[in-house]
Amino acid sequence: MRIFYILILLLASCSQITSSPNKRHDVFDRIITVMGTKSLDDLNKTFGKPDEIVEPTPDFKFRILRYTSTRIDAYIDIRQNKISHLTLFYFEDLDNYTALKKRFKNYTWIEEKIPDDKSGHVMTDRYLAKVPEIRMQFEYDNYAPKRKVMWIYFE
Amino acid sequence: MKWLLVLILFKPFLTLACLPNEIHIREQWIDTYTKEDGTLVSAHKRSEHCREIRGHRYFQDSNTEEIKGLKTKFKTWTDKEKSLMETEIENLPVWLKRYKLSKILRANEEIGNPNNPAMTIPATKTLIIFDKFFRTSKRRDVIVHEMAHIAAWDIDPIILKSFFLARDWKYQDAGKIIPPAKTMIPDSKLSPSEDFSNSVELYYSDRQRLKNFNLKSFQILEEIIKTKESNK
Repeated sequence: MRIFYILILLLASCSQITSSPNKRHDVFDRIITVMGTKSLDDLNKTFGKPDEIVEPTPDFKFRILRYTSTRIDAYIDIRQNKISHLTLFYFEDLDNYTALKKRFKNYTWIEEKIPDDKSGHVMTDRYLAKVPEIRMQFEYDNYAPKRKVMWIYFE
Repeated sequence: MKWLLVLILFKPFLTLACLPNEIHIREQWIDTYTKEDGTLVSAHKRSEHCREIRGHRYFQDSNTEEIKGLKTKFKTWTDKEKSLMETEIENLPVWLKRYKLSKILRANEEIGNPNNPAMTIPATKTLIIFDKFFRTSKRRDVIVHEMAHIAAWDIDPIILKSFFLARDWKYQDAGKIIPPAKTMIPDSKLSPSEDFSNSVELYYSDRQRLKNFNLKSFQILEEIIKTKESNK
């Protein structure tokens, strides 16, 4: 029985190493690679078959490929048959701003204040953060719990 | 041994997912200081963590911390106002009532926005009540809406994303987010969280209309609410 517990402890330790919030959803390397070529073949090889495909409409010219578990949406330029832009719904359970700042510490990081809309029912202190080298940007709000970031945008 | 095993297995799920009665505290640098008993504590980095909100329905007559961008004056609560607020909070849906507020502040009309009855700071779980709140007959809707602004950040990301997609939030190129073309309440277009809070408000005030307006997003919202309600 003791050996069984020790084995479980070892397995649990290993699972914690791989399931830390940063590592579990760190799909950034894969996104950066795909967005380097913007090729649909690379998208398919990296993320597999999309869970949902939304066809373009007269009002919206992009085809959207949605990947549920990775929370990625790839917007396809149908004329060029390439990825136009891609979003990742981040929303991790930790201080998102700090986590992203640490994750991209080796890149140039630019921030600008976004004017706060006074007509809403919620206080905001919003900023747009940009990492130009990888054409990545996102909005964060100092008044949101854990400064949670909804969409990270890649172009 | 058994308890150690339980602790280790569940630790990843307990670490940073704050409970409804907690607030998240960011990682911070603590300078060297001396305790009252003379113990010297060297400088260190304190990791981000969740802090329990002590007290309940914490009415405050003034505010010591700066609230960036808010133009109003805080004032003293009357007993009648407190009692009215307590009734409204008591009548909240169970899942929203679980979100403890750290402060409930009373303020004059907000300069530039006199029609706003209330405002929330989700990060600190602070609720600000303006004069207009006491003149409206829809006080419950207001409180449900404000509490939904707090709850919005505490939802499973895959489900929340599917709600926003069903509501038709999407991205144009050049990083421009596009709100849904049609909304039941005009200010839903301001932000996804405003849209979510309006939807929760309508779920309790005009459910059938919300359902008829967009069945898919209604069903996802209902799943979110039922899951939250079943969590003890």
